[in-house]
Amino acid sequence: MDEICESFDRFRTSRHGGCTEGERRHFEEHLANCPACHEQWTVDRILGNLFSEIPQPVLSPAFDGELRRRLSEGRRMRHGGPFLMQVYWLAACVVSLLIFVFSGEQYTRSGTTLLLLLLCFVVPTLLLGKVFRFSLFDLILSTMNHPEKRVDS
Amino acid sequence: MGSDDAALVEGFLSRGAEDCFKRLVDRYKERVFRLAVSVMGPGFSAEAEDITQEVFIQVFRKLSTFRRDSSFATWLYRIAYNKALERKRKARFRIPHQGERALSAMAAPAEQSDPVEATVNEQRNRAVLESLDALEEPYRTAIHPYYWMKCPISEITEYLGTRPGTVKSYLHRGRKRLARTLQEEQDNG
Repeated sequence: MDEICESFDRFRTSRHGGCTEGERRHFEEHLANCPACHEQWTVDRILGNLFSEIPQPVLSPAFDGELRRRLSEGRRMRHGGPFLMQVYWLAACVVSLLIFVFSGEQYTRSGTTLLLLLLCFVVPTLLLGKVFRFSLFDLILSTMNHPEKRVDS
Repeated sequence: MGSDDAALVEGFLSRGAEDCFKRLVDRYKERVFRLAVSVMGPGFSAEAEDITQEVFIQVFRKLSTFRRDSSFATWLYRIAYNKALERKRKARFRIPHQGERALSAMAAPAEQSDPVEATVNEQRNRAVLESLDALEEPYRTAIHPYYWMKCPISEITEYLGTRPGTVKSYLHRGRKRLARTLQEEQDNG
C-alpha cells in the first residue's frame, strides 16, 4: 500500500515557488523525520536535474506543410480507392451471379458460398484498401454524406 | 474553449470549411505533440511529431464519427494517447535500449574538468532514463510532461482524462517506483 504524505506537494510547491526561511526550516525538519517525503524529495531532485539537461521538445516548422501534403495525398488515394472498389464490387456481383446461375448445386451449399463471398468481396476489398489506404468503413462513408466529399467539391 | 471547439467541429462537418479544421489543428497541435512525446519519451521527438500528424489525419477522416458525448479535446487526446501507446509498444520491440537513445537527446555536456565526474554523471543519467522508460503507464506519461515540459497538473489532467488528485497520485507513485528501481540498481551494481 502506498503511503501518500499530504505534506509533500505543499512543501514542494512552496519550495519551488520560493519559500520563507521559516517554511524552509519547517520543510527540512519534516524531511528529516518523514522517510516517505525524503524519498519523494530525492527522486524529485533527480528528475528535475535530469530534465534540465534535456532540451524541451518542439514541433518542427515543417509540421503544417507536411500535414497539408499528407492530407491531400490521402484524399487523392482514398477518393480513387473507393471508386475503384465500387466498380470492382459491381463486376464481382455480376460474376458471382453468373457462377450461381450456371454452376449447378455445388455453389449453393453454405460453406462454399461463404468461401466464394470471401474470395470475391472481402479479400480484394481488404487488399485494395491496404494499397489505397482506406477501410471498409470509409467505403461506406464515401457513399454517404461525408465531409471530405464536400471539402473537395 | 469547449463551445468554440464545438462551433469549429460543426463548421467543418456541416459546411466542409477547411479553415475550421485548420484552426483546430493550430489550437491543439502543440498539446497533442506534448502528449505523444510524453508517452514516447526523450529521444523520440520525430516519432511523436509523426504521431501528431497521424492523429490529425485520423481526425480529418473520422470527425463525423465524433459522438459529442465528451468534449472535442477529450476525444482528440484519447486518439493521441492510444496511437502513441501503440507506437511505443512497437518501438520497445524494435529498439530494446531506449535509454541510450534518450541519452543521445541530452544537450552536449559542458566541458567538465573531471572526466571521472563526467562518467559518473552519464551513468547516473542513463540509469534514471532507463528506469523511467521501464516505468508502467500512466506513471511515465504523468512524469514526462511534469518534469520535462513543466506542464501544470491541470494540463496533464486533460491529457490523461482524469482528475487532478489522480495525476498527483500518479506522480507520487511514479517517484516511489523510480526510487525503488534506482535503489535496486544501486544494490546490484
